[in-house]
Amino acid sequence: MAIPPEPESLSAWTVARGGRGLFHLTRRTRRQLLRGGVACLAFVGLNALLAARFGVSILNYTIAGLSVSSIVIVSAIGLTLIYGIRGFANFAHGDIIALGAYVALFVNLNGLSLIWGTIAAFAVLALFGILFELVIFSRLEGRGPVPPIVASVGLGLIIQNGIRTLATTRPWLYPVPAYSDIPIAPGLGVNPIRHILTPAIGLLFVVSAHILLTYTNLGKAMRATADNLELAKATGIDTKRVTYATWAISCSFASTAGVLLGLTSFLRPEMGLNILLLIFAAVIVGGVGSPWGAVLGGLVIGLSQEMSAPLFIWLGQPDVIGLVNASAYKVAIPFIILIVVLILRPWGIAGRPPAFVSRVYFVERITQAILSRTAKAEQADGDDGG
Amino acid sequence: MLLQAQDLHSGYGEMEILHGVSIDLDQKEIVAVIGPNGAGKSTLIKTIFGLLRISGGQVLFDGADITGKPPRELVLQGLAYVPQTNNTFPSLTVLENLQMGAITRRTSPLSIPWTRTDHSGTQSQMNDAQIRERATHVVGMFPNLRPKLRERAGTLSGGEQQMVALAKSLMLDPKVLLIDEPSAGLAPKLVEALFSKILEINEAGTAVIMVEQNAKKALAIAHRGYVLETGRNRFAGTGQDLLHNADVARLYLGG
Repeated sequence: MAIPPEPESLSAWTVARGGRGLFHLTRRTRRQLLRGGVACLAFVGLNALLAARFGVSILNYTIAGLSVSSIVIVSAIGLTLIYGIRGFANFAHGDIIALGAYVALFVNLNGLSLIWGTIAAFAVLALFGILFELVIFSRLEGRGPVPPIVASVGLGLIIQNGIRTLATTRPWLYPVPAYSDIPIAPGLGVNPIRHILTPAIGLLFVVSAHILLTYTNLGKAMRATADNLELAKATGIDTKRVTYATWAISCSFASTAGVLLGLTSFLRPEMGLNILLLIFAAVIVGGVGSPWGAVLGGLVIGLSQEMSAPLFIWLGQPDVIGLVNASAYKVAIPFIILIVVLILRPWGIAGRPPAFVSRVYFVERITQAILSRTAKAEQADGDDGG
Repeated sequence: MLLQAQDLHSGYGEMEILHGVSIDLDQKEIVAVIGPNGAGKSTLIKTIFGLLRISGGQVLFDGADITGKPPRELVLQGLAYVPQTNNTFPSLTVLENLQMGAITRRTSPLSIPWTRTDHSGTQSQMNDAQIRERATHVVGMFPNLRPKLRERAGTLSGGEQQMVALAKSLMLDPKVLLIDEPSAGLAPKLVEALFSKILEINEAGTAVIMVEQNAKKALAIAHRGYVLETGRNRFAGTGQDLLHNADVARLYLGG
């Protein structure tokens, strides 16, 4: 008797894995892993070259870059999530970062350790995020991107001046002991807070954001809502809940970024403003609305800023060109990269190009312009003929 | 009568598109809604599904008044809607799209109490494993999606995306499926495949309201049809009657 063929059923697990083996990766994932690996190798190689040519101490700048990147990335993820769900750039994000730093300070000054302060700020800022949506931004839904942008600028001013009123304009310092750098090699040292703790927390947040967005239903619903709000509503996704959750996540990520930023120097009411520009640059370079793009953009922005410092210091030497106040110029580099990216790849490094543009953006645009003109001319001819 | 729309008035903002349209749908029926461009066909199903504000008339589902209820509640009660375009989430994988189709039923341990909707009188909740099981079942109807479950929906072809959209809407085994121009932009061969899928879904017990440009094909598979014009009912009858009605043929079927 012939054995009947196996009925075409799939176990739930196989379905979840795309109907193949457990460790099957799709072509896209494999390609991304390959690209990531190549980029990491290139980066390590570059640093090895730099170290070989200029000595190990140049790696201090790379480490500083990773530290700046971490703060930028943690904030940029929050900013880009709000952009994805809400469709506007939240200009209050810098001040939300400052608010987080001050809430942690407040808890800290009232007798708890800074770690508890950070955790409290995380929770408090989540509530603030929900409050902002409830009181301000939910009322501006469906009015296009401009009203919420203007409202966010106003919100930023309110937060900043609220901090000025309550905490005064004096620069505060977190009462953390000044750890000295741990020497690794002659001329190369890492600071336990700025160079170990900050990147570690940054990595923790990136991994948790990835897990949230990839494996949880809330994260999937967030991505779905960012993809297509109307369809999300029609599918039955509770888009209101998703929006509140996104605000909570965005603002609590910002609070931790604020504490990390506060640890690098003083807390000032306007501390969010300078970093806000870097965060925007990171989000745009990576691809607006894409959390993974924000990570990539943050790395590009932070590393390029810090690693260009030795170049300017070299230019500042009297026998080169004697650039005055040389190291201040490093701040320009991220924005030069931003402009270049905007010209060559306006949808960002990791963003998806709009359907109509191909790899060679300008050529395509020009061809399109010419074609549409010819098409119009033909149409006009046809009309004359008819 | 499973679904009944009576004297519906609605539109976009100040502009009224529907000036009193009535249609009904019986159990296990396919109803085709046809008519020229701008007749209000898509507006009609969007209105029924609660995506547009209703300024007059009412919608009854299984005897209960569902006028003006949000889509989320209608999904829970057993309606599903497939929009004409942009009907999948492009950055989600096919499987994730299907999971989203069942999200209204998902048990959520972390749901925020004041945003929780009232589930009384609706079917039971599903956990992730049950949702996956259901996805397996639905994918069984669309075998060509099986190797693509882990691909992003945005990378699939137009026909495959329509299949994903259809599969997504079947995740909760709806009683009524509202489909907006399923054949728009598809090659003739794919249209055939899609229509046979719709027939298959219908045979499994789901009533279908289908808006179609492709009037002849739609009427051929429909039990009954409605012809709309400028937001009003124009003709109604069985699919065959409408197909062979001289007026309908001359005005709307292209001769």
